[in-house]
Amino acid sequence: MVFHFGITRCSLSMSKSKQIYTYVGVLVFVLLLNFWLPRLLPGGPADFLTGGTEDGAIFVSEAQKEAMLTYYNLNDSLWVQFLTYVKGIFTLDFGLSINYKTPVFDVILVRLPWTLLIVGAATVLSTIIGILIGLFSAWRYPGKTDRSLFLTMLGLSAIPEFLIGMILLILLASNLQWFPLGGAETAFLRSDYWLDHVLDVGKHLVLPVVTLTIGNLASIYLLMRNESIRVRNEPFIEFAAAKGIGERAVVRGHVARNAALPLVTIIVIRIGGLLAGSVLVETVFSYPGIGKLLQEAILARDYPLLHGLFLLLTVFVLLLNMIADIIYPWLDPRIRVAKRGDGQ
Amino acid sequence: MLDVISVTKQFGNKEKSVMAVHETSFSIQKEEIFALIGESGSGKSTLAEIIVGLQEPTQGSIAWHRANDVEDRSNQKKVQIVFQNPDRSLNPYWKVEDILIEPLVLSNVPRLRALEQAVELLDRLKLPCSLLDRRPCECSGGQKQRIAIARALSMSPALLIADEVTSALDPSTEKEILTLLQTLKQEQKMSILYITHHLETIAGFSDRMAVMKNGRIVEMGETKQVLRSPNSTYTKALLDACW
Amino acid sequence: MKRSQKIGFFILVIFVFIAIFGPMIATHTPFAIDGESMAAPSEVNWFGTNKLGQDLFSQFVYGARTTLLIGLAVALISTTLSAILGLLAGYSSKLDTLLNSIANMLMVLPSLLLILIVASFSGGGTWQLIWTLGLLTWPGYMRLIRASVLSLKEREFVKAAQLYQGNTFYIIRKHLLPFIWPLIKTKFIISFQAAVAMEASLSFLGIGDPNVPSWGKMLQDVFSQSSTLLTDSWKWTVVPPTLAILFVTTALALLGESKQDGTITTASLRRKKSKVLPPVVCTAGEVASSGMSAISVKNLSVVYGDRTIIHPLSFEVTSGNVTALIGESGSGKTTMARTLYGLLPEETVTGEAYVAGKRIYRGEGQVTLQRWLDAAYIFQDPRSSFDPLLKIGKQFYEAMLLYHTPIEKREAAAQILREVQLDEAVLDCYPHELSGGMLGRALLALALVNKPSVLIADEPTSALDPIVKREVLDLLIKKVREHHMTLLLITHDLSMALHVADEILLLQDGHLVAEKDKQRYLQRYKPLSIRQLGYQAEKTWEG
Repeated sequence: MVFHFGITRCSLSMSKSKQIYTYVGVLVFVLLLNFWLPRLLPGGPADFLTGGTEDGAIFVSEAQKEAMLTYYNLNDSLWVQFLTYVKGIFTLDFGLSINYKTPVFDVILVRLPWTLLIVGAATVLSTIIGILIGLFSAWRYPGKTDRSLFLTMLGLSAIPEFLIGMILLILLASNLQWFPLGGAETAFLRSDYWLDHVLDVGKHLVLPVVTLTIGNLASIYLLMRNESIRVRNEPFIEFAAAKGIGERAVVRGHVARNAALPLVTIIVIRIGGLLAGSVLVETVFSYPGIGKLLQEAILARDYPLLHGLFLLLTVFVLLLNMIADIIYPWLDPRIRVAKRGDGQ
Repeated sequence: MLDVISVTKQFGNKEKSVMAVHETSFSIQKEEIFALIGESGSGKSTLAEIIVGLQEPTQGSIAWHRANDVEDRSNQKKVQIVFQNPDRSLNPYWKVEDILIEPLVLSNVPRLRALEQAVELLDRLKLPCSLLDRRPCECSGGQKQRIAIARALSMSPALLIADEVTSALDPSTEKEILTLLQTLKQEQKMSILYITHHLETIAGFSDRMAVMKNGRIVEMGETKQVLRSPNSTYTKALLDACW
Repeated sequence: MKRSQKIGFFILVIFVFIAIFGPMIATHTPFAIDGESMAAPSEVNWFGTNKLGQDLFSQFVYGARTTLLIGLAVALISTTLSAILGLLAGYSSKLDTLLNSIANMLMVLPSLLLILIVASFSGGGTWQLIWTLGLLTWPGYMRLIRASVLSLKEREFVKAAQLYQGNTFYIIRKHLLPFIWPLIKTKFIISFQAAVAMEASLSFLGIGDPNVPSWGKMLQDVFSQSSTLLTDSWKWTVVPPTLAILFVTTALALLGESKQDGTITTASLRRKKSKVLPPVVCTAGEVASSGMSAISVKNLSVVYGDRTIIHPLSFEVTSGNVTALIGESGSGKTTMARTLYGLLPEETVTGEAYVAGKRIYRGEGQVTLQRWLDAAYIFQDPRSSFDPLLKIGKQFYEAMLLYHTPIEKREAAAQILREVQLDEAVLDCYPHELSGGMLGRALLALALVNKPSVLIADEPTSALDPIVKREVLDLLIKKVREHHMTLLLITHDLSMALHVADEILLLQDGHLVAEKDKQRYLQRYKPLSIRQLGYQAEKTWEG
């Protein structure tokens, strides 16, 4: 999903302390949303307990009702509910999942590696390919190669990720049967040979990773291309070319570095976007990661699980942002030296 | 006519502050051209913005001597400024006629009368009337700068501040603009504060001059006098750098 | 409008028609269960039916309505918020702190995550979705608009308007709005597209009003029964909504393509690497043609499209001379310099040009100009000539083809730096750590590093302050004389040209001005010399 397309370098201009305030603010904001939304919005657990909204009755089992009552402590006052909620967060106790009847933390832990696997693979692939094609396109700008690449990527970046996944699924898995229809591994695969298992996991991995990669690739390409074209018009590039060092050396040594540097932050932050995007992709491919878990939790109204997942994702995104903040000054000599100068 | 009284301007907060202008005092007489010389970052443009009222000084003040003919003009109208780069001082989306009448329209002069005045001004600045329908990008650099001067003159200021008005122009255009400013000074009976980093241009142009460095005035006096026998080492260094 | 934008617009118009008129001709209501289950397209059900026997054509056309309505409403809300809040934050520093921190907070989380949080706890009605999307997606463009306003506020026409006592509302409406209007348009289209994509995604996940037909929901219906993928039914259940989402989102993306900055004259990077060539024995013809000239130009002209920048001209620059090429802006002097250094596309240049005896254009089979070895070219601002991310040393070494080992290179570079009174330590500095004057000297050293016989300098000191400018220029002239190099100095500064040059060439509108007219021009526009006023110089300059 490229909802954020068109936004560049938002966080670079801010000072460190301000960033920390922002992150704490976001965390508090998400915690408050997690607490208040289910209680306030129509269609939340309160309505749910009283037998659904006017949209029609939702089937609720007695056990579900009971689980929810204990989870939300709806019989207590709001203040007591809030205190219990905050206490739960600090003790990492998110309660029992209504569906799985096990602690939320454990449910998530089982699913998390699968998501990290596909998101990690997609991040590496999309970053490398996106930067290379973006650079190539800018090198050929203006020209037909660049234009057609640009329009293709612009189009790709607009298509919702689940649609790309679905098209791949129908063409490659359902029709051509090159890849399995879904899941992360074949159930009850009878082989003692570890390589068979690795190949099996790899086969299941391909389509989800390709889908996530295509979506992210397009936006990284667009950012890299624009940045490279901007850098190309800088006088020092013309000067480097005038030094007679050859176009490859100019592109590799000067354009690539200067264009990629501002993207580092964005790429790291976009990993958060990929995590969120995994909800869609895992749903398409029934991939057993936390994205699929989140979708199931939403449909089953498994509120304790939802809270845990949202909190986990938020913390992940905040950590990624912090990593981006830390590595950027480390990579840019201009900021790095200024920092050193401050210390003296 | 105008006194700048120990004006100081500080930027930034308590921890990191930059002193752009430091306890600067001078005065500008009636109908004189006063040149302010300085390198980039010497604080001369900041001083100009303070005089014109775009910035508040941290300390010190700007005082006007009451003379009969300027009494009724409000502070803003007494002084007008022409900026260095006409591409930044003329809105590129506007037509020249709208640019010229903007100050008049904003002081509630009816549009038709403002237009009449604009045509008159174009004539005085030797610009063709056909410019009125164009946009700034369709005019040459010298024309654009003259449009900016015309706009400032439409308020009949007592003091015109020219902030590096010729630094983006070619030598021939520069000469034309300087001659024009001298003529206008006599016609309009106004003073000009001419700000530049170019020592060569002010010889024979300005009456008095001051040299600024790092926010302070290091030398001030009659232009001829200063150029012939400067006192400060900095002025000497500047003069030595000329050919 | 570009062709791609026209295509996007056309596709969008088709879907608007489908959304308006489709439901009028639909014969079924979208959720009526009145057909056969999984029927293939027929005369009764034009797009076939789904598992429940609902008519897919009516779901499709009603879905178009839903999609476009949501897209339009979200785009309106989000764009309005972006524009208003962006203008407010940019214009008022008090509100800026507050608005900016809200925007930052909203932008930290990926919007899909944020929307999932809100949507999963709420019932998921259509209007709830619209408000959620609208209220959560404004920060990106709000920040762009804010940044744009902040920089516009520093423009002098805004300052002037403030002086003429135009109020804030007047300035925003008359001066700022024309500039941010393109941003607002782009924002509208992009949020439209993002809202369509988001709505489809959320419905596909099963979040959304089950009683409102939508393309995403149609797909969810198919995918919630995995068996459908095993039959042929996907051809009518999956293909229409998929194509519809695909077309609408890409059409909007094409339509929203913002203008690319950068001009058609963007320098081509496709240049050959310089090679160290063994000295060649010139043939008699070449000797005759180049003679004693370091630069020799015959009937050279430069034409960009139908614009002639340089009209056919010829001149020679004597070896070892300092020649100033002067002219006003737009006279073609920079183009001339770039032409002589071979930086122009070959097809724009006609005629012959030789530098250091080597042919520059169309030199097939001959020894052509090797950049930085036979001639060097420095221009404008020394600060923008160095790559900000590389140490000065690295930028020296990559041009030093005459030396091979790193140690040799470093020694030679240090040697040449000492010649321009710079320390070897400069090699380990980044450009931003040096002053303008030091960079000017470093640039000069870099130009001398391969001992080229010709140096072309295009306004090399125009960005420097007067005193430093004089220092760097005098050093340049001194070094050129010391190394018996030929210097072509491009400048608009008459007094500088008169002072340093052995010979002056004057360009006007792409023509070389004849001797007599040139003298007249120089006489007329030569600035008064400070010396004539009686000032006795204390410092004697070199060169």
